[in-house]
Amino acid sequence: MQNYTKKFNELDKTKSDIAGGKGASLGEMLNAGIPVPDGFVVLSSTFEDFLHKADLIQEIDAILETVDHKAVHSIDHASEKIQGLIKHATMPADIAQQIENDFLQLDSEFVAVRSSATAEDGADHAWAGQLDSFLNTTKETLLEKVQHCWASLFTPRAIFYRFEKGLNTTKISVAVVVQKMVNSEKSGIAFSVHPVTEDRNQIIIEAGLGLGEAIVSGSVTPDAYVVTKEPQKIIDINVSNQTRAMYRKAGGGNERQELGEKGETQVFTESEILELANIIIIIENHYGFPCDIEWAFEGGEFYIVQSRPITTLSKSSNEYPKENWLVVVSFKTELLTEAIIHRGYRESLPKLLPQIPKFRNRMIIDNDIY
Amino acid sequence: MIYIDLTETSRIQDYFSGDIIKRAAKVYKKIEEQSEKFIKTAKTVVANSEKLSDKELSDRVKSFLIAYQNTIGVIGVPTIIDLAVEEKLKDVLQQSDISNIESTLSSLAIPYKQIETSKEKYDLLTIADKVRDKSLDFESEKIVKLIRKHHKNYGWLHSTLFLGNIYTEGEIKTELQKILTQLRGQKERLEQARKEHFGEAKEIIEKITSSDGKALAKFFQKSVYYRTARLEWMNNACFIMRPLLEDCAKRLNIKFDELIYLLPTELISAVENGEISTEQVSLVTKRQKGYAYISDNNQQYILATGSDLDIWKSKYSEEHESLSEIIRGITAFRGTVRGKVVIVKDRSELHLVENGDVLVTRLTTPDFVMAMKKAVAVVTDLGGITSHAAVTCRELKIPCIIGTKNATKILKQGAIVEVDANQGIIKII
Repeated sequence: MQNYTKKFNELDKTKSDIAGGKGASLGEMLNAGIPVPDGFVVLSSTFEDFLHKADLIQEIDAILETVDHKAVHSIDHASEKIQGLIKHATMPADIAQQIENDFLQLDSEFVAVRSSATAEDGADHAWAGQLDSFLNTTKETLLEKVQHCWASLFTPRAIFYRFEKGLNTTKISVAVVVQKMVNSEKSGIAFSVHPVTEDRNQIIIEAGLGLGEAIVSGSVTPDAYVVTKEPQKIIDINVSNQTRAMYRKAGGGNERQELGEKGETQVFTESEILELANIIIIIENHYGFPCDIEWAFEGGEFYIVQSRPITTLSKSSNEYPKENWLVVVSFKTELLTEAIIHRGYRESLPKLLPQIPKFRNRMIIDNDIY
Repeated sequence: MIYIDLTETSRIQDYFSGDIIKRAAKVYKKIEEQSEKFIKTAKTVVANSEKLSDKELSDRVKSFLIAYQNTIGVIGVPTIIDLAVEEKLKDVLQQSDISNIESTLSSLAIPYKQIETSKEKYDLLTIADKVRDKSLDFESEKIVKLIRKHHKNYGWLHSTLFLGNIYTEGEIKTELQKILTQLRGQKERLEQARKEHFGEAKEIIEKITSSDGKALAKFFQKSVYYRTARLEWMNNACFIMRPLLEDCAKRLNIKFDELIYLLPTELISAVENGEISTEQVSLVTKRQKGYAYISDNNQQYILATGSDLDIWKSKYSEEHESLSEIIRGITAFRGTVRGKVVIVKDRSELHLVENGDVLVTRLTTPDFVMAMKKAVAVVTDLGGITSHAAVTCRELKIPCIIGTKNATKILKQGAIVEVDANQGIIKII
């Protein structure tokens, strides 16, 4: 049987041509010892196979040839037609079977389905990030979401970039990442560098019960642990009293539960804290810079849900030394307006007055205290 | 504190310096166009909103936010145009051997058309004259109608976008009563002063040697007008729109003051879902206490609150200037008066200002106008001759000294001072 999919452990960063950037990096992380939730990638060649078997190639090329990428309606029209063709075509039985088999092997009720674009030239094209992503996908909708991901290669935005970046003659394709969604018993975030003191030897871990959203958003006060990297030891444990937690309901959706006494005890034992700290050190070494990490805990195992470089702290402010800013004093503005101002400068101004040089970097900091 | 990128700013300034009058005029035209559209959109979306479904309501909020974003996208540009105009104009004045550049610039900085703040004052004075002429009873139907109409036209005048309070019919009435206790002829005196002011500017323009320079000085008055008028238009649209957002807040069972701390996308989806999570509400409470919002080069928006905000604050903390004993600034409108110092640290303290006080503050925004009208003089730490305080005080004929740097820090609450706005000095008596 032909290989339509590859499991994460069969991938590494050299495979981005078949698995897309996202798929390859998940494989790379797994190989580096970072416990990302398991999954598999529907390879980009599978998409091409699908186009071939569904006999769509000529039709799509013909539609793309009619596109005048300077005319919005022309792009919209082409996008709608092509996406319709891809979504409504029947998936060949052998492809469908392999995807469903792999899904069953994951042994998870819910998966996240994401597209990951590939291009012949191997470059990481910005529009790759614009493709689709579907959380909480079940077996019933899996194939449909895979086809949606394929179709996302032809959103108006993606078509526009394809022409704008001169990629219309490059072979572009799309892989689809299917990843198990962890049903968190406990979850939290971690910073590989203490975000306040910026002490590079200190890791901060925040941990709470239930799903991570509440902790990420700051609406639950989690336990906080500080661990030093050298020597690897816990130097501070701050247990907080969590009153409520969010859990996933069977069959989808979330529900809130009152915790009672359960919320008063320390979330992790010392050996668990050190285990997690160790994973965080591996991640930081893997990327080579400080990271901010979202993690989850299910069935005695830690999973890394997301990791990214810390950008909100010194990195950004070092990029903008104070003398590079012009101070426009103002009283406090409401956040709604402030967010609109930022978007206005960045998105509307270039459209309405294209002759004006770009004007888009702006900060408002509530430090106007007398 | 708001910061903009200096490299970007100077690039834009250079662009305008290339052919300032023509290039800036195009921007002003676009601002007028967008503002007009914005006010129209506000009027359309606000109509009969009570009966809308959540989805329909969120669609209206969306159209409003798009118009808001487009207008705001262009109205920031005049700040930079001003930098370019002022710099060029200073050169022109120097070349024409005109001394005392700052105060000359200040005399030139009259809006070429009346701004709304001054139209409002004229309108109120006209109503007062009507009351006197016809000896109307203050409680009569006719007066109520006139006040209502005045409110409809100018109710937005004392708020800044969605912050600050609406200028109520009650306040308009009080203002009117105050005018009626004063002598007649204020309107004529204001007109006379405006004429004199224009005359003075005309004399200066005649002294300018080059014809390009003359044109630039005249254009300066246009830029002063747009700088102030653009904010008035924005405030007007937000005032018209406010009931719709108030309706949204009511449906979400939160306060209006909380609603305006949602991000645009959060607002739209909350309204569409017809509810808002308690987690979201607690985030909003955090943001109300203070936030940093940054757009950086990587096309990301960073929102920081709580301890994250502290990091940004410490990185960009304001250096305190050494305090000097002499309080000196730039004259925005001349006159010498005495009064009691009232330091206003933010808009919540505006009610402290009483008739005859000297208003001392960091800088003013449109919601300060009510308090400014009560004050005998206005003193600000910051701002130049085209700042809100300067333009408004000239229009309202209130002695005003701007850019003292530290008046709010040196002066004590309640101290009696003499504001000598002829020399730009404040003396503690």
